Amino acid sequence: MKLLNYTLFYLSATLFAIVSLWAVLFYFQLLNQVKFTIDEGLANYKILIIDELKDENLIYLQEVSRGKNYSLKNISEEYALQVRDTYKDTLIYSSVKNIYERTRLLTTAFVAEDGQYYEMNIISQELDRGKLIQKLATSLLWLYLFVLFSIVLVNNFVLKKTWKPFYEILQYLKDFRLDKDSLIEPAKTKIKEFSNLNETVQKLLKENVDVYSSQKQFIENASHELQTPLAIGINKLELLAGAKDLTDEHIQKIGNVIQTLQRLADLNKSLLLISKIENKQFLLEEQVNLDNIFTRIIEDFTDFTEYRKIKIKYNKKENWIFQMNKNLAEILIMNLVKNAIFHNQPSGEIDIKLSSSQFIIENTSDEPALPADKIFERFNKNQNKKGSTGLGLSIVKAIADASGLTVSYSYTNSGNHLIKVSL
Amino acid sequence: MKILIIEDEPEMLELVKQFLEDENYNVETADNFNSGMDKIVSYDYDCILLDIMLPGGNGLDLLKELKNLNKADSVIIISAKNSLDDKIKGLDLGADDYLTKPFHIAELNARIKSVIRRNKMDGRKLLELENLKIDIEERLVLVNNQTVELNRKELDILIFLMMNKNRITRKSAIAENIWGDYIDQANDFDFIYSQIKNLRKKLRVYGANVEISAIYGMGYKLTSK
Repeated sequence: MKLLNYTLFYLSATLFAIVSLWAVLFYFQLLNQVKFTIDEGLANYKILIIDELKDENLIYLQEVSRGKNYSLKNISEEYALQVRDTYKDTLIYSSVKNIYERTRLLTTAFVAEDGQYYEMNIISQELDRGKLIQKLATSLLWLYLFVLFSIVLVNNFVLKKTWKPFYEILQYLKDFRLDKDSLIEPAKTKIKEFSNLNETVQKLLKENVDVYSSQKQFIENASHELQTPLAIGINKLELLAGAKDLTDEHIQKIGNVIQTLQRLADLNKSLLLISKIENKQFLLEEQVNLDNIFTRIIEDFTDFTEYRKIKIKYNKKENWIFQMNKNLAEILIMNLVKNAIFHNQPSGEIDIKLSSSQFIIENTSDEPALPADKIFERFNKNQNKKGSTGLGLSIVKAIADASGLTVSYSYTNSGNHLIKVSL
Repeated sequence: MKILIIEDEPEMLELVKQFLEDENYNVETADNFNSGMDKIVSYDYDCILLDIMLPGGNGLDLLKELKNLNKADSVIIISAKNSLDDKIKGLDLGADDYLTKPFHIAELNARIKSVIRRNKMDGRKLLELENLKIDIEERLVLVNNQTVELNRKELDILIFLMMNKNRITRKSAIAENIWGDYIDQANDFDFIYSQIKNLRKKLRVYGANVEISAIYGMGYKLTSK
């Protein structure tokens, strides 16, 4: 939920409760006031009626007063003396509307010109509570909506303005890449909390960038320090093997040492590659055309496959164009195709299927099923294969993770090894 | 043929120097930025091997200076920094080639020969051994002035072996040179054997006076018969 909507949600809920409570209180207040006004009217009316009735024959009127809004009843003196003016709510049947209507009723007693005591009931015009509530509710609803609308406006203009520095720093953090950006000063803000936030973020990022660059430096130095002596060792041995007075046996032994050193150099190179991928040092991303890469790599490996009599079937349903680093894409596919060739059986087959969001590389092999959860771990290698570094699939995994791809292994019913790379 | 090696690693420097002297080059060396600068400014070389990380400065600055002086020396950058950035920068600054450590010395040898050949104005240069001649520009192989039909990879292997004639060339160096960088993780270079076999057969048919001998556990060697 966005901050804007979140505050709006709570504000509107609170406001609704307040307005509702207020509506109830207001209703009773209003009702009291209305009753009071009506009662006052009735009292005035009473005086007016009594005044008008001075000259009339009240005994007679007692009979005909029904149908008017008052009625008279001759009463005894004792009774009359204990009658006080009382107002109450009552229901009166309205023959026009054919319903009972709620009205106010004033009961009073007076002594007429003729010395007789009379009780008089006066009713007011109807008091329609339903309508009152309805009117009240409607106007309050409008008020509520109006206030809500105002809050939305305020939220949109004021809150958006207030939170602008926050969204700016958020965007800045979202776009920030340790490996890519130099630090940018975030926009200045007058709000203390936000300028505090900016400073803290800035400090944190700076520390991270420093750690990152020193680590990067370390990796490069390690590569420099390790690769050069290895290269020198290998090359010196190569020169030594070219010396004139060596026997074949000597040359062969030198060859073995070179192979061992070469393995060390390859291992170093692979480890370096993995740490570079994991440190996201392959920055440049572009739209990579996987069909082109497959076509080229299969072509590159033709000599291998011909030598081992392995058949590659390449089946492109659709091209997959994916945003990633091109070198990494090449290394990923190269490693997988290479694995499919080198772990294949003589005269085996490789089946490659490419579609718009995944590809599958399936190969025959006389090796048994591999543990799907372990094969992407470092140095989890097949002991039978000489010269394998045990890092090939770790490189694949590191590339997939860094590029937002999923890679999985399965052993098919027909006894083939299958690697699937998908989004 | 004068070559300058600017490299701070003494063993590496000594190794390359010894190798190039065996190849009959006139070799000079510099082991830091300043002595490198002195030699670049004072003399002309046919080829300069330039390390990027040097005590006292960045090799790329030497390259800039060289171009400022309008010198035509060929430059091959040699660096352990396997970073694309340096490679692009170096080539932009006018380096002729870029080689990443660790490299096969046979590869370095081939690269030096190609940049020197490319920068020579005096017509095309032929690689020659006995009655075998290779014209690299035209991609022609001649035995007794008769054209030998080779496919692309056979020709590339032959050129690479010719540039390193009379030396053992390792299978992995051949594979990297012909099939590209990534192939070095291929673990197993036996597939080269079939190419070599075809090559030997064709050379024999045309009566070339050279032979490609296999050195067990190492690679191949091209020599006169």
